[in-house]
Amino acid sequence: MWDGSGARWLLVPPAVLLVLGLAGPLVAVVVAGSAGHGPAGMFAEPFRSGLFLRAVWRTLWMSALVTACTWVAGVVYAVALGLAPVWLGRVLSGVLFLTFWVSLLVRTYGWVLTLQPAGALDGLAKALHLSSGDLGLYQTTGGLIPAMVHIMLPYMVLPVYASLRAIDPAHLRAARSLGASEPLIVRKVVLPALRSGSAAGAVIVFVMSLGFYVTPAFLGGPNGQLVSVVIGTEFGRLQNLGGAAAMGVVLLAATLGLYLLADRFLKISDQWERF
Amino acid sequence: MSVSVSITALIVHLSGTRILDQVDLIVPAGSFVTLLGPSGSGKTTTLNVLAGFAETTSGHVMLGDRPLDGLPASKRDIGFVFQNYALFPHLTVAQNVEFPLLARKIPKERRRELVAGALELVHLPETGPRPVRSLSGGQQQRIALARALVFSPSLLLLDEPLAALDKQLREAMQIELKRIQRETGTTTIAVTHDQAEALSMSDLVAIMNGGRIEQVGSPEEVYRRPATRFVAEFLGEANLLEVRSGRVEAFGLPVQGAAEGTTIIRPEDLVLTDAATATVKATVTGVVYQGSRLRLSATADGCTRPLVVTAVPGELPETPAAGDQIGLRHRGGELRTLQAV
Amino acid sequence: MDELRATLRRTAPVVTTAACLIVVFLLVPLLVILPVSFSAGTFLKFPPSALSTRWFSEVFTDPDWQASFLQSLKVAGVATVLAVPAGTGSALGLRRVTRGRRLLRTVLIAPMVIPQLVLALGLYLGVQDLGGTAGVKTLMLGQAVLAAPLVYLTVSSGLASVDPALSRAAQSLGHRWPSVLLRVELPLVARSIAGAAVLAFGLCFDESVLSYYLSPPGQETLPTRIWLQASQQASPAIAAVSSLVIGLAIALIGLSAILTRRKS
Repeated sequence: MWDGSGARWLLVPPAVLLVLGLAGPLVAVVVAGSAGHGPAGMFAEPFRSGLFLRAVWRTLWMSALVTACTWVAGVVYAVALGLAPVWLGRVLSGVLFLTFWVSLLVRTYGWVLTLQPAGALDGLAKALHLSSGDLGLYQTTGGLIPAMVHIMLPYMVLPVYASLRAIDPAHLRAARSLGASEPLIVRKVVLPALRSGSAAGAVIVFVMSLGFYVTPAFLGGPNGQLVSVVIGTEFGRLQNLGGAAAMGVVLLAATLGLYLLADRFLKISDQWERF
Repeated sequence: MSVSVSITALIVHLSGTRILDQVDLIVPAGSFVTLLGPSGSGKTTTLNVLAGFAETTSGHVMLGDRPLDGLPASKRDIGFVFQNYALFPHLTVAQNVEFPLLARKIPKERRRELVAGALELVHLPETGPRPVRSLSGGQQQRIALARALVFSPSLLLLDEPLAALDKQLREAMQIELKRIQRETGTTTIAVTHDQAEALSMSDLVAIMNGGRIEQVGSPEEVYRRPATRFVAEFLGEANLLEVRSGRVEAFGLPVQGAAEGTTIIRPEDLVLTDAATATVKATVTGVVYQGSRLRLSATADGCTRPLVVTAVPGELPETPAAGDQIGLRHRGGELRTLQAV
Repeated sequence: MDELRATLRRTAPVVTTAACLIVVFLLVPLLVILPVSFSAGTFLKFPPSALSTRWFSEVFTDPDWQASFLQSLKVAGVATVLAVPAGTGSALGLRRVTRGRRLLRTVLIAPMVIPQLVLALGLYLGVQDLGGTAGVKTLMLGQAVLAAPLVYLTVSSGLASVDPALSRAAQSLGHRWPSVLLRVELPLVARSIAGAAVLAFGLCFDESVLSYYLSPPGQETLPTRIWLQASQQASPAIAAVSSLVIGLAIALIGLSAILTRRKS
């Protein structure tokens, strides 16, 4: 920092905003969460509830599953963005940005219309004579996973595509001139180059899945609740703010912890800055 | 108007590394001084310290009788020409040149006169209303110069001023830079890694290496009488010869200074002669034709290292070839033992 | 990319075909909404038996939908006004900082990964701790926090193409930092800031979790009203509103793309 650059003054607006709108609220959650049971009990207490425990377990494996599916689809999509003919590449990136920018709630509602009984999917199945009645995907895990992958896909594609674009064409030319076959180039040059981008994307998708609320609230169903939906119920319908806060602290610790670790080792914020 | 600059015991650390290590330099008022050195020698950091872009660890910088230590860049009254010119792309040529005048709250009429004068000085009077992007590299360089001089700064700093230009333009701009500097009389410090550029433009050359200044002197001084082995080798080709008991090896000539060490003989100071007048006999190992010159490499009897000799082709009775026996003698002049560093 | 295309000649068709299937997957839930919003009946049936625009006219004339639309405009507008200086200040300020830059950036981007529900809860509790009741102002603050990283990322990607020497040049020519900011830096990233503002507005307009938990009754934003309606009843009116929201998103992306496009 050189003298008189004004850095301090420029950082005042974000500092004020983040203190009032982020740090303050997060402190309020921690304070409310520890009010009943003290700071140590705060983490233990929520786990005494069987409902919460089941939700934690469910959240973990569903997030992992969503991450895995998004990973495969995201890498395929990102590589296709690079390999498709120019016009098709435009279509692919256009559709991706469209889904990214259409309201999360509206996309979720689209999935409701698709999956609900007598919805679009049932109608399609009937028209193709694949099934006579109800596919029964609405408010089940089978219906929720694709919807979550749908929402998360852009967060995977963007960093992977950034890594793909960063491949030095000279390396590819060199590999070709040295007589490497196409599968070998894919395995030894292309996929390793995508590793950092796809790792960053996977962590982001996993972290966001942990705290994901809207889509699971609509499509999750009463028997398959995720942590955030349990918190939402405590907060909204039951007005059990202390309990919601205690569970919120657990969720917050998990997501923030993972984010900080990933940022330290995978340089997530660098990846995001490259878009 | 013109002001001297003095740098005293300047030390700069950057993220744990010592970039400048005890730099002392006095720049006389109105002179053109070039900091010359390889990349990483600290010359650009010195310039940045002067301009107020880099923090110092210790040491002092004075501009005339005004200490600059801790003064923000905006208050230093120094014109800086950046390597890539740093012209503002959203402003026209005239607006770029006017920019420093706006900070100085100069009335509009006067601003217009000063801008016209500055554009006149760099021989681009008609370009005022044009966007900077429409100018060629050489023109952008002149506008950057006009912008840095329009407010009559006490000091002009040039960071690799000619590096972005192609070779022919560079030579024309050297003369042009020198003319403008002489016309305005502004004390000027330039940074370059190009030794020919440094020697042809400057009144004084300061040769930097590893965060220190190794020698300051006129171009002739630093070339003819390099103080250290680094300076000798950095400025053109040099034959380094051992000095023992006050005499140079093979040639046996007396050497000033320390009795043991190394001295330098420039390739053009070795003359090809017949056996009668030769002090040293040598065998040619390679001949390179360089147009105006012939560059010979040869192994001489009693010399630890191969010698390099340059000669004008027309002056030789016949062009030597590899394997030929030749005679060599020193053209004359003082020899001096280099300082050990 | 051309080199990649030339090298992976045989992989390309396979990957591209797979991506086309993913495109269908991405578009289905959006495309399903359209016919439903044009249905003539009163139930969510797919495909609708007859088409009409009755639900669009109903939505346009319903004062409640109108009010929630205006409320969203207001909330998103104020949140954008808060987020733009914060995000822009971060981008410009971080460029000047050498020590602690990584840490600052990590903090600035954190709102993108923090669970929105927890943030909503925190804002609700925080205002309560201060003796107030969470309301529209709380919502505006929360949405500004969510939008600030987006503004930061957009402006700093615009700044990346601005030579840092320009700021130094302006300083050495005698301008103090506020003057450098106004005369050099802001004009050079003006388009990025405008594009960032549009994106931030879009994000806030569509934001639903904070909206749902912080909007006071009677002052629902559009997403809150969609949410409430969708969980209470099954009317094609919601699909009609959703179609309009999709249309708005497309318009905003287009606008932002035009604004951030570099002048050639």
